[in-house]
Amino acid sequence: MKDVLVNVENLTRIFDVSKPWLNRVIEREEKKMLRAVNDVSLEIRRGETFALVGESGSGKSTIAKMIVGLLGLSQGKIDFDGIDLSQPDGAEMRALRQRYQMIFQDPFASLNPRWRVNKIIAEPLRQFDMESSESDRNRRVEELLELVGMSAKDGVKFPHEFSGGQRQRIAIARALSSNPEFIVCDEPTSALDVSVQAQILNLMRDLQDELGLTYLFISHDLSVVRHMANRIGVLYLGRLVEVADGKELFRNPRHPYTKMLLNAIPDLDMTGRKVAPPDGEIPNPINPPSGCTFHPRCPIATEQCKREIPPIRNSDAGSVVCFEAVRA
Amino acid sequence: MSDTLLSVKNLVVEFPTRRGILTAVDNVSFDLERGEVLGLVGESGAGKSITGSAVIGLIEPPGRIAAGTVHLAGQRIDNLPSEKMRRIRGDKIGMVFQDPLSSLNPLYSVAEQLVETILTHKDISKKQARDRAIELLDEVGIPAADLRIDDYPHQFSGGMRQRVVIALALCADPELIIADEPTTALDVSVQSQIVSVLKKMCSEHGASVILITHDIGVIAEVADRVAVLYSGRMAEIGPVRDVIKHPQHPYTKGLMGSIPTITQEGDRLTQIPGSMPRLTDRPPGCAFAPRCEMAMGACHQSHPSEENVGTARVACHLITKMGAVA
Amino acid sequence: MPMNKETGRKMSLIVRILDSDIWYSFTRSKVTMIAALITFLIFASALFAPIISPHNPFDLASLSLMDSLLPPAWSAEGDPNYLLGTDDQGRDVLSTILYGSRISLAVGLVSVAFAAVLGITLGLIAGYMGGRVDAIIMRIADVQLSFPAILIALLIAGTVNALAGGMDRERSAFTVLVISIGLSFWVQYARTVRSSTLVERNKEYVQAARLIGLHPFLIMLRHVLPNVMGPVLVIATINLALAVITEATLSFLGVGIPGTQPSLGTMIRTGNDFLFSGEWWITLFPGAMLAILVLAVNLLGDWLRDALNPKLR
Repeated sequence: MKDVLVNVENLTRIFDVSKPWLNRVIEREEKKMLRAVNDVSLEIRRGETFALVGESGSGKSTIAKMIVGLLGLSQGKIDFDGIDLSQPDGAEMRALRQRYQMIFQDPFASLNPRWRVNKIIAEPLRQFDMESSESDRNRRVEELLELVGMSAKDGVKFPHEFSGGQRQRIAIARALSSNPEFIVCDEPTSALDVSVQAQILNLMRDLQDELGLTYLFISHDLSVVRHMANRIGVLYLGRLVEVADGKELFRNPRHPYTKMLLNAIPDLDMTGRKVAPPDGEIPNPINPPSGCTFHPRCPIATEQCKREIPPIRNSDAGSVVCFEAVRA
Repeated sequence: MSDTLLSVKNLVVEFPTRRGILTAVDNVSFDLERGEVLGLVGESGAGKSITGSAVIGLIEPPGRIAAGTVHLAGQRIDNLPSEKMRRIRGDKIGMVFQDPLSSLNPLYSVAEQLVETILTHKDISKKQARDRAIELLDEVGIPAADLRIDDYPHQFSGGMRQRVVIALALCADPELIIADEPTTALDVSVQSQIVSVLKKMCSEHGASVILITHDIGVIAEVADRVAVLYSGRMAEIGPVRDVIKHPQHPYTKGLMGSIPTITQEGDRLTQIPGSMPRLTDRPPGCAFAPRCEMAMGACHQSHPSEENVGTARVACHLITKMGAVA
Repeated sequence: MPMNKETGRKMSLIVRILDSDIWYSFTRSKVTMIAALITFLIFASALFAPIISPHNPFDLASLSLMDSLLPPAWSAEGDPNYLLGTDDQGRDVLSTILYGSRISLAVGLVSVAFAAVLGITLGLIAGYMGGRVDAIIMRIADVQLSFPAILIALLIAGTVNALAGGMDRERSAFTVLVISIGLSFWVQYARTVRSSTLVERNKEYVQAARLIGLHPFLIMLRHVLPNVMGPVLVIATINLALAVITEATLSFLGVGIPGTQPSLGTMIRTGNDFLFSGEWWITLFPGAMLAILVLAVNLLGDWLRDALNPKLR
């Protein structure tokens, strides 16, 4: 029996990107809706790293924000450890909030430039009343700084005195201060140099082993995802097109988009393989193609693909949303 | 006509600040052959963009080229007055930058921008220039080029815009193209498209390319040779296959090991402790010594000079002493 | 000389300021340093007026009508006792200027503080809450902006004075002035703070605070406010000059500080009546003082704006 920590069902998010009312009346334009997330369902099991991969417009960041409550849901529901996140409020919600956290992409914007580092890390401790005294709090902050590979003396400094990689460590320390079980990582290393990325990824894995954390790892970089994730979900234009076990996705990709993404990965092993580069570009999400939204770029698209949206086919290997893939 | 198009020798670029002189590029030398793609890689702050800017004379004062020479097709260009350099940039050098929205003027259609550039450098009629422009757009893979040529930059998607920028860079038939992070702002699937367009166009038009990027994957796909910069200095330069698969310099080794790939096994990525020193804080001796596992006494005292090791040129005391590493 | 970055050690605040780019740009500009000096001198002399002033112009007992309308000390009929001459009531012009600038500066400072607090609060709320709240606050601001500040101040001050005809004007004048000037200036602060808030609201550190369930009010206060205060200082400095002038104008027009304890503006008004009979010093000296003060503060504000602008550094 799988121990599911986060269960997402039929998640949908629609943004109203229409022009202001007056403009619409004068220019006689329709309301424009952007379906950033379209009927996404997934489960994240306790202790695993579930990765969401996709390019721009895939909705991965939107899903991350909806799960932690920074964005509302248009449709669907999210369960955390069996509790529907839309229900509780007040003290119950507060207790729940202590159990999940988030690490953001931009290390320069994710720390308040006017606060000292120890104040930044201590904020969750204060908010959740986790330590009884100031000196206990300070001690905990020092512990956390050392846990993420920095020195306790760094607490008195300001964020701008640190490099991108160090700031991301501080962000991780802040995320850990409330002792969460679940951390959503939104492209945590995309803004970092490659050698720094390696440090942070190693750190995150060590912390996961040490503290028993569950990660939702969002990224556009498939190589990073391969290194970090147990299971991977591939998103295209707001829809989850394939879910599979980590290494299996790379050995045996089933959805044509997954195959396209894998082919686009640069050949760092210098095998000299020649692959045709992918076709076309991501369409405008306000006006997506009909049926299976991938059909204009798909090498195996049929008439059915243009008309109908393929259903989710679940199997032991994972799930995939494609008429042709399951036929094969 | 010799095969060497660009020759950069002992280039030093300095920025005077009120806290002293910042040496952003310290004694960098490399050559570029005709028809070759040279990758200039390094992490943030390594000085690769500044090197590119210095080569084409775009360093803003008070920054300046403090020493060294740059020769383009035998002619020295680093000490030219700005008007002459501007002409050379227009005629012989094409530029592709990271953000296509700032390379293209949003107020003019693509046709106007391409045609104007072509007419500045070629003595042909407007109609001929327009035909040439359509041809170029077709070559870079813009569908229905004859219709889309009159569109404005904002009407193209990101990848298409970058293709237009490549067409614009090539329309004067330059000898040298400088591409500074041309794919960084693009989606992964589009990156590989742009990279192959760049390579194809440059080889068909006989232009040599300096490709500046922090993304080693792009280099692996496109470059013939690669130069690795660290803290303003050259660590290693050699054929791309050799540098990536058999790096000699300890920094290059660490760098290659820290990149996750599709085929690697094993749980941990190689990590280099610490981070690249800020330009104000460069240690004496080899800039990489404080982070290097194999640093010896000499490493902390003097800059290593570049030595030929196998197919590569490497700046490392250890290598100089012991020879190539397998 | 290469700078040795002592990032490991706690630098005292003074050392940090002296080492900063701002101080550096300050010491490079002679004009700014002179302006700062003048401003400092004027503030100091206003503060210490009771101590350094040769006479007390508000002590009715010490005034003597015999000494009224005396020209400045260096002219023929002048009296060395009264350096810059006296006004129609026998008050020493120099002393009155010193005491008067006290009042002018006090009005200026308090009204700027009032405008700033009001404007920053409304700007923060408008920027952070968005939606209807934002729209309402901004429409009020827009409406108010279509009137010149002086007009608004005049309207408010005039109306209050007319309504409260029987009230002790001397005591209420200060409050009325401060409120009317403050109400005419808050919009600038609100707009600047609102646009900075709109930027900061989307930054990840604010989202991190929302994530742990921090109340929006606390987020605005603790996280956003410190980061949007930058431009406020510049606006406040330039506003100070404007506030002083506005007070002077209102007093000149008769709705400001009454004549018994005059501010600079009131003095100019009083002196105006005597210009044509040749007693020029009653208007000129307070006018000059006002002009110098305003110029110095403006120059200081200009420098501050450039020094704090990251793009120019």
